[in-house]
Amino acid sequence: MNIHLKLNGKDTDLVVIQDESLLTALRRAGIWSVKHGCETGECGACSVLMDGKLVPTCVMLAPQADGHEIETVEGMSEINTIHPIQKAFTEMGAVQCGYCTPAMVLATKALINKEMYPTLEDARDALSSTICRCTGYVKPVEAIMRAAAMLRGEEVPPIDGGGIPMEIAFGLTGESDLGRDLPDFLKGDSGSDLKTKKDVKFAPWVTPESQTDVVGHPEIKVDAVKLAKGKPAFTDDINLPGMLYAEMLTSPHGHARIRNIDTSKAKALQGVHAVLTYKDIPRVIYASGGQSWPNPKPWDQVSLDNKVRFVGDRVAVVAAETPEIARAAVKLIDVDYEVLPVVLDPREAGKPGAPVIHDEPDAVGIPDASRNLVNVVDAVWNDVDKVFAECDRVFENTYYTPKQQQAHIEPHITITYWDEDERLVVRTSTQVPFHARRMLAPLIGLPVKRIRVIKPRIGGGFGGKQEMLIEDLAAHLTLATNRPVRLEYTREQEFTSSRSRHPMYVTFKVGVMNDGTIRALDMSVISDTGAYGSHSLTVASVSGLRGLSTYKADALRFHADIYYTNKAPAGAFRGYGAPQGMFGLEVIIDEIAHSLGFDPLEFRRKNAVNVGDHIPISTALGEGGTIEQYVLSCGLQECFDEAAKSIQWERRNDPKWRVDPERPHIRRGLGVATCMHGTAIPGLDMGGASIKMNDDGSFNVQVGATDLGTGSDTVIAQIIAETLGCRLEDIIIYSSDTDMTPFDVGAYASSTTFISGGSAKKAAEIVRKQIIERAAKILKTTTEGMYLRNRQAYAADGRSVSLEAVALNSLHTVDQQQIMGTASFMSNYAPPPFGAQFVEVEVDTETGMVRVPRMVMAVDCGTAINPMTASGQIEGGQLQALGMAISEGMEYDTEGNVLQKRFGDYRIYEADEAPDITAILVPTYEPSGPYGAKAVAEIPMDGVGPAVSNAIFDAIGVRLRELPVLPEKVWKGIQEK
Amino acid sequence: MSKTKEFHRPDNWSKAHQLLKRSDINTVPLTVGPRPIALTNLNADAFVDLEKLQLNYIKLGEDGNVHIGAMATLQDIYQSELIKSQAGGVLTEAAYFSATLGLRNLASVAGTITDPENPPDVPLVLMALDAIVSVQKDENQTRQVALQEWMKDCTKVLLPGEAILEVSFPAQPTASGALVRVNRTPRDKAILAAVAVLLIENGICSKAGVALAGANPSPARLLEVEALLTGKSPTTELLEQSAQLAENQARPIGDFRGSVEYRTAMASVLTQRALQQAFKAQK
Repeated sequence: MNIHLKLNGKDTDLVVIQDESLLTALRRAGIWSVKHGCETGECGACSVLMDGKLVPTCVMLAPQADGHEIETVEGMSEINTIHPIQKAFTEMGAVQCGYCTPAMVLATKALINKEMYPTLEDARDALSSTICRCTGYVKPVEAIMRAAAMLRGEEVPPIDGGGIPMEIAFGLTGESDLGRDLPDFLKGDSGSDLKTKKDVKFAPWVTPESQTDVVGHPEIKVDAVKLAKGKPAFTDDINLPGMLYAEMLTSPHGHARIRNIDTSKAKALQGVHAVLTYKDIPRVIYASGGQSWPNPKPWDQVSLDNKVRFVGDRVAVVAAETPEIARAAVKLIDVDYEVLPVVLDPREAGKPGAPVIHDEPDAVGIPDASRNLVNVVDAVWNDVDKVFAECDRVFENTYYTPKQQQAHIEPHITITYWDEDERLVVRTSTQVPFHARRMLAPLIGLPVKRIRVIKPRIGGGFGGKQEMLIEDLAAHLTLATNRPVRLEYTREQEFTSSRSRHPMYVTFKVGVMNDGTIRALDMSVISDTGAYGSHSLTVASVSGLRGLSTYKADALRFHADIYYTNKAPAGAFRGYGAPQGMFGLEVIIDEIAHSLGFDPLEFRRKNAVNVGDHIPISTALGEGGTIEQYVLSCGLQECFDEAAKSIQWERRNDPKWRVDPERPHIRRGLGVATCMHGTAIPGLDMGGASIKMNDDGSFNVQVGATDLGTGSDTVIAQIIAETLGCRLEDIIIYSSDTDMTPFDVGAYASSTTFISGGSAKKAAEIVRKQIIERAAKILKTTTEGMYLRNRQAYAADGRSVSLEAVALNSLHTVDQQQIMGTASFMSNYAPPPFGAQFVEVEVDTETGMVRVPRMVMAVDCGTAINPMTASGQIEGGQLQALGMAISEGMEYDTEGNVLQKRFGDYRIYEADEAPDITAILVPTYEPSGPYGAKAVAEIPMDGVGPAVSNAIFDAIGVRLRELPVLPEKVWKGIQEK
Repeated sequence: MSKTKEFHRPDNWSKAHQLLKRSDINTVPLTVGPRPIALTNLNADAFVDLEKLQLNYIKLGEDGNVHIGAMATLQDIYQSELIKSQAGGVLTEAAYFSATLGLRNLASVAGTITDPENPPDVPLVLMALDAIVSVQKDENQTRQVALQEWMKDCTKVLLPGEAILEVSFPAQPTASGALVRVNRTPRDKAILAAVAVLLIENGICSKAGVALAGANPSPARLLEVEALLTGKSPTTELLEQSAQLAENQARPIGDFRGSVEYRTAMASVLTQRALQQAFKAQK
């Protein structure tokens, strides 16, 4: 049918299908800024303004727009122009993955149209309809306030400042200090303070007071403008002629054998081009976790199997001309299931009589399939039992963390097609394009060289896309039909058929002396990987690594048993095992401190590792092998200082603060947790970068690094711009395309700034050397003392030549040469970032309801290459972590059906209910990282859970050893007290 | 393959009714609640959009009742000064907590009372306000159903051919009200919610509306509690007695948000808290 509407100010006629969503109709009309995130109006990514009011379009029928006025961000700016609201969002760092940014911009527009002087409360209410998984809403709220001021015509302060001292940034004479051998201090004098870099020979042109020009500055993200303008930047934002729509048939049973599948009715449906089951494709064993070659075992999956192992497991896949036909075809597939019993609790899965989930003979590397045992991890350092015997006190308890879902707002989506060279192009929302290409090849029987994986912008990943989850199915369908195929998960499928955090039971046994010295730590884990192994081995290893690295001890022991259950598989999720380990560790540390009569903060300060300390467990646990790890930089004590001051830690001693006379059932408390993470996988993770110089002195950069919204493209470009003495806008960066960019392992393990940034710095140093050599020739001088700054190459005598002149000279005039450089970086160090997490709670003693008014986290991530994006990571990470602490956790009925299949039921904090979140950066200088940087992405996941539990104990004296702290659990704790 | 569903937007009740009463095609009024169902899961073959029937009013009638048109949105309710002036603004608060801004702009009062999975706050408060649902039976006839009856099985009250016309309740500007909820996060769907609307005159409760959600299969009005309170002055004992009554009547269904045990215990806690707050608000 025809509808008539005013679309972005223009009278528009649209042909729509009566029962399609307005979202679908608008996207077909080229309004790409309107995004699909769910089907129930709850995530808000699909919002538009209808007659000036914000509405979600996924729950509106297209004809409902007839006769109305619809506004989207496409109507807010032209080429070369930007609306003040969009500008404010880019300037304030409010754009992370950018998938929901158009909706937030529209919400802001509607608000300011109504209220020129919005309050913070108004801003939060306006944003409440848009679930943002990245930002924690802090910067979007600030962006609204800034946009309102701009639209009122007020002067707004510039977003600037920062930088790090040149003498630190370029101290090592401008030569790369990356990847060198152990620093001398570790070989002898372990007490020297690296932060002051006493013995460093400074580059001659560096003055003590000068600051870096680009590194350390809150630069606007290089992709922020296009995302704020809603440009077609994501996987789904293209139209391919002849594209087919794929739909999966998934298992309704938690465990079943497929006796037979009859697809004849589905195939006969008009518009259906292919229906694939296990009968149609070769059986190739693989593991879906996006990890380095050869992927850790077990290899226990095939693309389509004759057995299903969880509700939501793949049964068949259809390609048809429309999504409606594909859905209809799926319903016409007849499956004869032999339903088998399920096991859902990992503590039961290994017992005799439990159903065997992987009884297929061709799985590789399952230690004991008959007991559903996926993996066992053991690590030990020194004689633990002997040290326990020497301890004054030994504490032991078990802690549980839930099956949290990544819930990136952009679902998994892949589009596959043959290009003109008959190579398969896989356009996909992935964190691991290179792993995906290598892992996909054997499944579809094509060599790696005939596959090109392109990662456009990603609408969030958080580990959920460190998985080759659906690329194989789309590819099989393109191979079967020779047509482009699009496969996208629904939100419900994200809950039933995607990945999640491994639920874990973590038992800690800690031996201490009465003086408060920790002497021995023993950690044992039961991990639940769900139906497939995927990341389970490495996740459990990281639990141990993180649980046993933070505090000094004389002996350490780790054991993990990982079991299959009939639930959706667990996979990678920001933190990657650390939040599970750190929850147990940081709660038991609190329990010990209280038992021994120590202040929980002082107890932590006393026992935590510091600069120069060895991390002995690192030699026993690590995907990359056994490499000794040391703490080369540590600002933990300063993090404690800063964050304690911010949260007003001393309030917990004030009886008047702890109660609320207006609400007699409320008790207040404060909790703390130490955070320590890793940076990349030592000895394994590698990234490459390639740089070439253009006629105007700008640079094209190709990196394999995968920006999933975090801002890694920006950080890498900043590192290069600083090294090459130019501005950020002189760097044109292109990333994550297996045909066009060097290899990179991908975005995981908190590695990108460090590893990919390291390769960028090395490549830039190669280019800098070439520029300086040519500039010296142009200026008829020597390279001695020459440096690049302000788009110029300066000689020691002060004369200079512009980068543009150097480029023109090199490309067109003399001894022609493309100035370019390529480098890769791998590190044997995984320098730990540190953090201090504080949380304030209010506990309702009658209902058990817990509210969190405030969270503060101070982080030592070395040099924050971009303090805006770094603080954005810390803010957003804290809110994700708070979800796991308070409201997020997938639960199952006795048959293996997940109970939370939509937003709302699966509760993610909305803007108006999120706490006041503070991020504090404590600068240190990490000698093994580019410009002193180490990681920041995952550490914010580590401390909130235990800090919440510890704060509840502070408030009401009840110890919660299980997350999330649902009202009923707290209430039961109060009843049992 | 599945047939494309019909969409109609009639400009008068007569046409709407002609469409809705068709027996050969499952035709329903198009309404959205604060917790929408995915379009692909909507159980109907034809939708009738009532946008043109001028049903988005909120007004004080000459009959002394507040009338909320079926298509008035939760945001209309939230922003209405008239609604704010009733029972201490407790319905305003309920509308706010039911959904975020975008869904408040879309969800109508009709959509809110026709899906039992919706957040219970708005129907709960309306129940305590003594609300009546008016149903357009055909062009000329309407029928009335008390909301507390309606909510017992809210998907089954509307008969083929019918549509909700409005929800109305007696204006209660001098009553006090309180809505209390327990949930995981502040705007999360309530595990339990209790509302008390009290008219206190000279220290005596002359009229009480008390309703509780989450402690029974559907949101329920606590008529016995109301009877207990009416004509009495609020003492601690009376409130405790009321809370006990609520707990005694609780027949909850447990789910992942809260078990039977928890919901039963909270029935009394929330009832007592709602009453306390409503009394306190009166002063």
